[in-house]
Amino acid sequence: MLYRPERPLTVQGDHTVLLEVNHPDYERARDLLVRFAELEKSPEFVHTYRLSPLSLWNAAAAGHAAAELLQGLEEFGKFEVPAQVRGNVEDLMSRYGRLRLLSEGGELYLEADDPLLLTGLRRKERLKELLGEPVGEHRNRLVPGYRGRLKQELLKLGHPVDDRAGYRAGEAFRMQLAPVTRAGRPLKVRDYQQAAAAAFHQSGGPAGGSGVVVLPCGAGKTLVGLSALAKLRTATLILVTGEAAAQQWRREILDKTTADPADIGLYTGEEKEVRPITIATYQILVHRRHREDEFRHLELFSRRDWGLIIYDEVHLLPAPIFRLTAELQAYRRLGLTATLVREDGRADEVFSLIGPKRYDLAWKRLEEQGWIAPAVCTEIRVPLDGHAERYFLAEPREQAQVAATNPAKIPWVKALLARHPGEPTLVIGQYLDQLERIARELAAPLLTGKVPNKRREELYQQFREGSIPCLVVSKVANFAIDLPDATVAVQVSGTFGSRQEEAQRLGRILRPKSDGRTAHFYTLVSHGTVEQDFALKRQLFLTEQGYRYRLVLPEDQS
Amino acid sequence: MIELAQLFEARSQVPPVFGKSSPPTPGEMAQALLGTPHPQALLAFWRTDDAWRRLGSLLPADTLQALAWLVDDRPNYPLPLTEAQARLNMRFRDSRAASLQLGLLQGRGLLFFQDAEVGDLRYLGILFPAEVLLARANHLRGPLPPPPPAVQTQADAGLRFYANSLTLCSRAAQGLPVTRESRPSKLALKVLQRQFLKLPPEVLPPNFHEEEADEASLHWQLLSSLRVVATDGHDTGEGPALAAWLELSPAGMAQAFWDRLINDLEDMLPTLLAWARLRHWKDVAWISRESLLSGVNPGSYRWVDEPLLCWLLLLGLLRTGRDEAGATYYGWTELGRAVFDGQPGPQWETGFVLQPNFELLAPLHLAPSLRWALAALAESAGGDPMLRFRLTAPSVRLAVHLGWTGEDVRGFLERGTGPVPDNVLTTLRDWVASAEEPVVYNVPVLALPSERLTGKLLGTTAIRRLLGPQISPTHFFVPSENLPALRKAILNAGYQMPTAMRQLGETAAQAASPLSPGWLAGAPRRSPPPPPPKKVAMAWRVELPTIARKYLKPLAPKSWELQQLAREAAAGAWLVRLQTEQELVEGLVLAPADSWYVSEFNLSTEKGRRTIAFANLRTVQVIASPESTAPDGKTGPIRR
Repeated sequence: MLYRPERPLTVQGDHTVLLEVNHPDYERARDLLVRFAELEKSPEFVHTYRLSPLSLWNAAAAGHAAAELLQGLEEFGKFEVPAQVRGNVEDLMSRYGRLRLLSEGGELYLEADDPLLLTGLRRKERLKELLGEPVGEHRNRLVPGYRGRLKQELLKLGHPVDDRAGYRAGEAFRMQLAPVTRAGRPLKVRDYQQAAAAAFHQSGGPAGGSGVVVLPCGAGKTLVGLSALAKLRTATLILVTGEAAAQQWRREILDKTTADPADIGLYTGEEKEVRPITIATYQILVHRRHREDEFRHLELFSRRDWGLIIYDEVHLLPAPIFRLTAELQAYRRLGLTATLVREDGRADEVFSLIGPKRYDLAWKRLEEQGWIAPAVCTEIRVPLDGHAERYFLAEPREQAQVAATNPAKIPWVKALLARHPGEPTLVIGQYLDQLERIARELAAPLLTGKVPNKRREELYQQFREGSIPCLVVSKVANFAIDLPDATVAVQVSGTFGSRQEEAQRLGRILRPKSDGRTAHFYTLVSHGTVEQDFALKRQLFLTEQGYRYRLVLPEDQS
Repeated sequence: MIELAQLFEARSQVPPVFGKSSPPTPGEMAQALLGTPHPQALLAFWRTDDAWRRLGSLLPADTLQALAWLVDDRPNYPLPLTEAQARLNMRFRDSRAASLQLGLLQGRGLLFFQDAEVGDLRYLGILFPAEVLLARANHLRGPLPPPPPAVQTQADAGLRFYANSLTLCSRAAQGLPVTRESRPSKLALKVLQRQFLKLPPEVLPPNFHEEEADEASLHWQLLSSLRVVATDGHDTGEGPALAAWLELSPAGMAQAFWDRLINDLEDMLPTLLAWARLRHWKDVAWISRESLLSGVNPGSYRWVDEPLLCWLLLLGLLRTGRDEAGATYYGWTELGRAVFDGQPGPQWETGFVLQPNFELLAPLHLAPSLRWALAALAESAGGDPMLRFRLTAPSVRLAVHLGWTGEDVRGFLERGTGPVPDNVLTTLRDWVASAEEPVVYNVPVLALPSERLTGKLLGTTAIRRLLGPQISPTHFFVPSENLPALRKAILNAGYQMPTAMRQLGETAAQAASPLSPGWLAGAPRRSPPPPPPKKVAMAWRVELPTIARKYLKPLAPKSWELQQLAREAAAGAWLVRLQTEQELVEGLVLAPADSWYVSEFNLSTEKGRRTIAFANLRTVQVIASPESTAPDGKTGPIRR
């Protein structure tokens, strides 16, 4: 067994790759891996990447070859690349491009260099209704409207399709990035944002125009979307996770582009405007009164000749929109996300229906370059004190709530606020009674789902301006609200179950601070309770993301 | 210089390798050799590369030719005499010539006859001392083949076999059940083998079957024969040689396994020929299979594959490769060179990585003693070639129960990894403390005198909702703030409950406010029942209380709820509707109902009492209970 301990990387038999972070060749090896593999875990010393079929196809779609990867793995590897991994990499990567979707004379064709491959596919039961009649040995005409479904089915069979059938141009809409923002500051599109937009656009050719850009929270994905919009200059439908996010996109467009307010429409629960740039929420699109009803708002997709659809937080895309997206393959599609991990395991549908990953940048690199703030996560164990009896006598299903709402946490919230005087602070929780009490004791405004949008916007604005230093927020803090100057977050209760929720909450404080200070994310956990189990999962998640994590036990609190 | 006569005389005195039920042990062979006039010279002669050629100078040409033919042609086992004679006659033209040559060679100790009778058949074996075969193999070996084209490693077992061996050791030390034959059960070995690192299929012996746990069985055989593991007749455990085993180097372990697997190389010319080639061409990186088996009849390839190559590959002493044309190659590994050439071999790794996410990463050649400790402290999560472990609360608590202290844990981790990440250290401290230190809470407990009363009180919603978790059939935690309400609810149900709490060990007489005398006497004193209603409430007009509505749903026949309901119904003389598969019965529940049967009074037929087994029930509906409100607004038991 060849063993070269001086090298930084280990290829495991299960297709994961371990990379030593403190190795002098770390950056070179990371730059190799980021092209071919998904980063699964990035704790402090050794990062874990995975060579999955999707990651390899993403790499092949970006023009990388198996030999490039294997040569790199040999160069950096402590051990020889396991034979089965070598074989799978070669096999999987060779599959991309064997099947191509082409458009000629207004018709779509599936083309294969190997006639045997096409013959085999024609015999598959699940493809019979999607494939039209054969045109020679190498081609099949496609049944109109089945472009997306065919790609989905072929991917499930292990055959990714290189879709070069092109896109409709869409209704023209003149818009460009503003050289100066409305606030009078010069607009600077960062290098990686430009690179991401260019990787998606691919000079307007059929090789680009659909795909996903993966950037960490706080890295400015919105500006990547706007750059793509400015390159394409076409009517655009932007799909976002909620009304606050819709408002945020609207503000960004007005701030950073030449678009006129009259050009931007919001299609939400409260407003239904369809303009050259329309921002719609996922909720409204999948809203229906009864389960048997049609999704009538999905007609928005045909209300205008859209040239681009942007899917914000594409990892949260609801199933009905996936289904519809299968029929929208002639539209350019840009997915924006911080993670390709979907809790529902539908990452393959993102690949086949939105498109391959076009750009990815590790958050650590952004932190090194100062584009996102360094953050320290601290878990403080709060004794139950007088709350213990209530906790132990509660029904098991109620214990989590009793632990989460431990009143002894409130003095800790005050102490932490006192430790960061004047710093914009979010107090985040799940239980409204608890949050109401905290808001009362801190004399801070409480922001819940019940607060009307207008009031919410006012509070956001005051928080941004600094007139409110502390905001107590419920789950509304989870998605896409923009609180640019928050430097401290104190989580008093939460489900801790969802990786997305943690990432989103942490994302609220990752925007770079003007003075370069470190962001702090505190979590208060009742000591000796089930809350610790949730907190341990959270600790694992955050340390696997690479964040520094501190734990303060009751005996250390003197 | 050794003389012809001396050589043959010495040889003829050495016991033959063959003709015995088992080969001579190295000790027997050495003793026999030491009894000869020139043992060193004798051994040295046969070890020389040109022993066969020099033998030619000692024998007549036609005798040497006869020996060569016999060695090359020798069947692998004794043949029936007639068949053996036919072969010899074919070679020597007539039996006289054959007898002459065979006699000459036998007299000089260069071959032996094995004569046996099985039934009516006589068998004849012509067999040779191992050194004669080896001399012939060295003679046939041929020159070093030309360097191969680019060869890519195809399979290398590395140190996986040894890692799996350690897995078996640690599981065996924890105790596996053994069969009457004092070996772990097949099921235990199968489960164990699932935890093994996968060996490349190319290195597995062809007769190995994963579903039969052949690898685990082999490890058990090897390790028990080395006394690394042992049994006490009931369970497996540590063997007396375990501690020394864990200190061995990789080459030391490989040597021990090799010696156990191959007591002596198979006494077949193809085996020895391949062995001679592998050993003689040891300095080349790759030897093609074609070169290795050159001159060997394809029918005899198995004498190379099974007794030689498969063990060398399995033990990671040899690896396989392929060239671009797909031809197979073999090459010595670093471990192989260490075992057979005394070169420096691979060493165990003495460090591992501990990450802030509690993950431990160690190469599979982690020192056995460290691996042993890691297996005790952390949960294994597989991984190859980097082993993954994870520290978890249960694994650390288990280690504490096995005798590790917090300082042991910390010290071990620091020795293996350097400074332990802060968050891990703090969490470990918490886990160790929670395993070491019991915590005492002061919580009120309601103790009821009998299960029967427990059933009755639990059937009352007003009481049940005030109780905390049940800790025994008759004991419940009670939240302090619920005590006044519970006292009131129990009083409403017709029982008394003292105001002061009794301390543990305190008797009733000592208690400031003892439980009610009725309780102490074991016979609960009921409050006077409320007066009966003036008229019977009709079932369909009764406003059912919550508990009754709850039981409108079907209940599982053996459910706790159904049993509670029956107890409560019996105690309170409830009017119920019972639905079975065949019928619908309405009536009063009369029996104590602490058994599996309910006696009821059939309203429609007035035939008397019946018993319906719980198992036959499909639905129970409470039509009226003591808590029901009768149409006249009064509450109380409803009687017909």
